[in-house]
Amino acid sequence: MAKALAFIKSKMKESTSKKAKNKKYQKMRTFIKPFKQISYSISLLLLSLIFTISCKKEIAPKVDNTNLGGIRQTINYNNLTASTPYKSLFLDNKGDTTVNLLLGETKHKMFIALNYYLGAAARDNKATDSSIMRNLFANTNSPFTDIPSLKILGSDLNNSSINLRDLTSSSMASESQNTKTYLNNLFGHLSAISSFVNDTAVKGKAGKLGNYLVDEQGIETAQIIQKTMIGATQVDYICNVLLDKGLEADNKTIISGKNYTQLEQNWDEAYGFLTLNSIYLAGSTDAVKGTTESLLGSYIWEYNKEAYAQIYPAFLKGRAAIANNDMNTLKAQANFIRTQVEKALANAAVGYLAKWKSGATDAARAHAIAEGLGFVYSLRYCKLNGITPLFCDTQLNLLVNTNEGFWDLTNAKINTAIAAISEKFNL
Amino acid sequence: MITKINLSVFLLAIVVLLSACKTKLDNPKPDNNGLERAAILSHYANEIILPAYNQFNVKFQLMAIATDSFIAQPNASNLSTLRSAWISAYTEWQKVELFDFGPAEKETLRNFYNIYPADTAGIQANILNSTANLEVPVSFAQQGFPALDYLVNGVGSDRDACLAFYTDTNNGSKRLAYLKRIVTRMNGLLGLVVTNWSTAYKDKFIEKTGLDIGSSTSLMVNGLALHYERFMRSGKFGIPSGAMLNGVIAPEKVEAFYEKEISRTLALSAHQAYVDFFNGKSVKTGLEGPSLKTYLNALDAKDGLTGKSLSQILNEQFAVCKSKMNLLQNNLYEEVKNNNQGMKNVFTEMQAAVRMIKVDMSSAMSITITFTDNDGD
Repeated sequence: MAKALAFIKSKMKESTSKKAKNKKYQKMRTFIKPFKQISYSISLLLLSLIFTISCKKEIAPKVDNTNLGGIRQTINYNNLTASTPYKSLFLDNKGDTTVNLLLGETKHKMFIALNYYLGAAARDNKATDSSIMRNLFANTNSPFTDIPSLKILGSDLNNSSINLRDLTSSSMASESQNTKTYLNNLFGHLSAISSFVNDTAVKGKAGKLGNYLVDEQGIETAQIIQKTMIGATQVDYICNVLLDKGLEADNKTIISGKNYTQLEQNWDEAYGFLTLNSIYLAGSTDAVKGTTESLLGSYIWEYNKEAYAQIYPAFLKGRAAIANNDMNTLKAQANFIRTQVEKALANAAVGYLAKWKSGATDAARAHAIAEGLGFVYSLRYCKLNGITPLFCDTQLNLLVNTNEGFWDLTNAKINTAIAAISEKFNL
Repeated sequence: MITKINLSVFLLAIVVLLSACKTKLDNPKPDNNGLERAAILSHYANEIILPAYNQFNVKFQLMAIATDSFIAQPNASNLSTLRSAWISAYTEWQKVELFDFGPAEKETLRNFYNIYPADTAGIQANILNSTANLEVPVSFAQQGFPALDYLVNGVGSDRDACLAFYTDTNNGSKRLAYLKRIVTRMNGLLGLVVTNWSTAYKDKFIEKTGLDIGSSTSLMVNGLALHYERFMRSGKFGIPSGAMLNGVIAPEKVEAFYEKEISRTLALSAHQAYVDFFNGKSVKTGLEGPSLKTYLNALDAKDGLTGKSLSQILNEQFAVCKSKMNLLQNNLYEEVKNNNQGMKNVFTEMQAAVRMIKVDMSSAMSITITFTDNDGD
């Protein structure tokens, strides 16, 4: 309670001083000053009670502000707001930023660039080449080119000496090779069907349905790859590596030649892999996204309306906790982010399966189901919910295990998968 | 003095509170009288949805009986009874098609009941294949009321020709069997939906009072918005009139193409049911209760342009739509061919209502419209 009081007091101070020029507030201050301390405290007690009740859903746990042996200056969690830019508070003793997003952002841009190429066949009606996809995936043979519309500079990525392939499914030794093989085959498959971009797809024949390129089973392969990679690269690496084992990294030593500890870097890498914006989803409402987000970052907004606005504050608070070497707070933030990412993924899987049901055309249904199937595959990275590859593969088999694939889908199959996923995730 | 000061402190604290939990407090709270969503959902379930399904079920069973009689004796009298029963059930269907949330969404009832124009080639093929898959999307237009329209009204140029279709020595029995198959399938699906509503789902519907994506209010508003836009505006007027397709008219895509005289009646029935649902008009008593209208009023939702209440503006717009429909003749097929501007006028007015439902109403209620794809890929 004392902490809550201190918090409200500091908030009051803050808002009072900010608006000192405002006559009303000045008046209020003169009221408050001579006021009996007891009444004041009672009011505050009541208030903090109201505060606790009305903010029950507040995610950030109440924590101590003491620095628990960090090498940085203590950061007061109360100074963090949803509009604090990610880099602004985290400085070393010389005043230089300790934030470095390059590693995460480079991976993020690689995914955007690969995804852009995956869409090229349907977008530009041209055949695409699986060896280019494999090169983009593994960053071999300088595959990246400039994509001005997406602010991608090819040389930056080519010279980065990092790649997406290595981190694919890296939290699961047993799955890692399977996923790489699976993606490798999908690249070949997408390349093979891209020569049918001028045909109309029908049952048993690849081609286009509306704007979407589908295979002979009516599956939009580019979407399967994209959604699989959202799980296998972004979700797995951010949630199951960086925000899990990554939190055990050293936080006492500055890496030689850098401004940050390994723990600081891990957290920043996670942030950069999620978003390229200094404030993730700044100014967003449920109806309108306030920033340009891509891939995972976009689907969190679309499929976790309850929590998307809390993701950024959690990243910020976690970063402050690293400066304070406050591992409990740090883990609480990581756990929150992981929980909400998994929820978004599950909602997306179920949401797209349901969009197959409401789709009015084959094109709309094909697009929805491919997104849905890709997300169902990616549920295997939802480790907090204990999802296994077997569970996902079982659902996928129930949905599209026939030769006709998409063309054979029924409402009953979709409902079975929706029910199974909803039950697993308690949706 | 003390009271004054206390008040000031409270006011200041409330400012702090508001800034601290902005997103949570913006949402309407269900503790206010007109904002009590459980009461609204309960009224909808008990006074409109369940009774409407029951009324439809009565008409449907009459049609099922008439179908059996016709199958037993495919004669002129039984055909005539079946035709009337079909009209009556189809008209009543318009009053439940809008409940495309919960059990009906789960079964995708509409997909199996009312996707038109009927796929007559598919129907003819299915007649010869008694195990044709009626669950896949390609079969949607081969079953339901539009398929029955074809089978009951459209398989011959006149009544005798229709009868001859069923008394044909080679294929008559197969045709009757398909008629039976479709009605049985519709009956089974309807049974699932009605049973689900009357047992497990009703309580769930009333209990899920939130505004999140899975909440009843969200599912309901999304279902209603989609229904009005895609199946009333586009399906009944936009597509046949060509308003949806660069002016290319498609009179053959009107609802009830083989019994064209009822096409406007079906649209009016659907529209009235929609308006009554919005206003919470009980199917049992005809009296209005807690509804989307009362909820919008309790939220004090206003039309940005005129400052009038949103519910009033919506009702006025519904009235305009209805009046435009009333200017048309019964046979919408002929209207497309001879008075298409009248059809387009309905479309235009309904489009204005779509915006009010999908944009103004949903945002006033803090409901996310989920049936459109936001990611743009």
